[in-house]
Amino acid sequence: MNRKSSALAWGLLFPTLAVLALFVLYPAAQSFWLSFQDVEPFSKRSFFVGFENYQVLFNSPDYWQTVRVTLFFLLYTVIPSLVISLTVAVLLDANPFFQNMFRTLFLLPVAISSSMAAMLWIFIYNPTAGFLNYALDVLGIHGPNWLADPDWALVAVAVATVWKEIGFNIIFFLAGLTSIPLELKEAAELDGANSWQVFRYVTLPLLSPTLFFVSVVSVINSLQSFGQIHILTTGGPMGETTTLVYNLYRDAFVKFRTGLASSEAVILFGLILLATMVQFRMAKKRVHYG
Amino acid sequence: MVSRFKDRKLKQRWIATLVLLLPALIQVFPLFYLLCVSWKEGAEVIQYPPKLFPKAIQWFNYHEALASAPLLRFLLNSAIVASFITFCQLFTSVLAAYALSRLEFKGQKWVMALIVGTMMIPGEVTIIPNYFTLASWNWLNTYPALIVPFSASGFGIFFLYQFFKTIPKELEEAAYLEGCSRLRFLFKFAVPLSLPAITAFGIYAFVGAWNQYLWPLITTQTTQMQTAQIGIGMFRSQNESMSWGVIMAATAMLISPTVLLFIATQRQFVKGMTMSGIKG
Repeated sequence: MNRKSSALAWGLLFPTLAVLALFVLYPAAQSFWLSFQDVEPFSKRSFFVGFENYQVLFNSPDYWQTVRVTLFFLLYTVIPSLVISLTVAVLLDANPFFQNMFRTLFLLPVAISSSMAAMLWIFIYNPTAGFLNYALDVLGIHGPNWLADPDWALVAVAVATVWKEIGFNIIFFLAGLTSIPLELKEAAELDGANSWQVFRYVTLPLLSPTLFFVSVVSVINSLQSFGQIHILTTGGPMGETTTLVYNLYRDAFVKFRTGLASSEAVILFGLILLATMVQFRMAKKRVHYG
Repeated sequence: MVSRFKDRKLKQRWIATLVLLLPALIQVFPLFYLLCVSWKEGAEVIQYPPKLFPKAIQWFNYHEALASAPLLRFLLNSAIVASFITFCQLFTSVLAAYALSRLEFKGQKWVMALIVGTMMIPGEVTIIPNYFTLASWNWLNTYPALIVPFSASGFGIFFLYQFFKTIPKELEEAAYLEGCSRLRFLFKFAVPLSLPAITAFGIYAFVGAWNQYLWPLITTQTTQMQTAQIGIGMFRSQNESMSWGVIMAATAMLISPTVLLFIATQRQFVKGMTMSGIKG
């Protein structure tokens, strides 16, 4: 019986293990291996070069610029999307009129991919015919050419990203908020706490596991952003929207520098792991699990 | 005291409603603007000062968009790819999660650790070798290239594992005494009992597959194989001289299936998302 059960188990696991081995584990190991190689673009011959690819990256000002762009993009997307989505979720939870209509409106971008979200914003940003600069004109402000201005392009991409992301965050914040027992808030109110105090000392601590989960996912999503950059700016102007992932794509599939791109992939993997670990560390101190 | 409490609740409702108005307008504006531009004719789009509303609701941009690119083919490709990925992930994950949660065998813990470990590996790390693997098989620009690499999911297994674990042992033993085989038990009891979780993961998988960008960008080479996400970018860059009205009409057509599907299935969708998020 036991041997039969064991054979059955391996049989059931086989499709999964085959796919994961072939398309996740093997290529992950291969990426590590390739990051120490110099691969000729056309003949695909490769030579072991040790840490040379990593040295090239760390000595390249362009690569450090992509690191800077990535960090600013993280800052411009994660914090605004957390603040806005938490605020909106709290308001939606406060039982407003037209609650269902509001909820549908805010959640709608969940059904829209990052590239489609970019298409929605691209004409809004158009410097002459777009609505944003027209609205600014009416207010007496001369708007920049958003997507072509090195000072504004990253902000413009970030705004479109936040617009798309907050729906996803609101879903989780709402789920977290509705799981907080109403009696706790009412007890605090009866004790004379005002709305802000109820939020700060009752809602927020009880919501901290959700907040933690949403911020981990937001950071990972932001680090992996690609579609909206490809549509809106293709990494320009002057590399000001070239993030680590976008640079990896260009090195691998436009410039065919396989070895170099592989070491970028390894670095990105390390960064995502590090960001997640830092957040888990912070969560240990701050997150209260009921 | 009670009436003061009620007053305060009513005041809160009003404040919440009023404060939500502005962000709601901002949130809906890009979609509204998309429709407005898609109904404008060429000169109307670029006139200054721009008018928000079109002169009339007209569909010629939609006709032109449909005539200049295989938009329906893009949608069909997306639907085929996303459906197959969802089906394959459900199938492989149900089998594997069942083996890991309800059967006993040597090395079980190791296999579980390995599968959970694959969740930590981001797609960017595997994309270059996977591209070369599929190129060497001559699979580039085919449906299998878009589907097969994603036909198993560490997350799906981890997620379903937790639901299969909650099925009471007594039920399983009773079924075996009745002469039910293990596989029969899986499909007759375990799967129906976990249907909400399976649906939740299915929704999650479908959305992820539909929204993929980087992988289909590098593995599709002809217009006929492009998914909606890739098609729209190509459509824009290949029609630089085309009126923005036509480009927005194309976007509107490619966006509408998922938006309408979302509005129709909002409740299940939200439940699916939160379930997969909270358990994962």
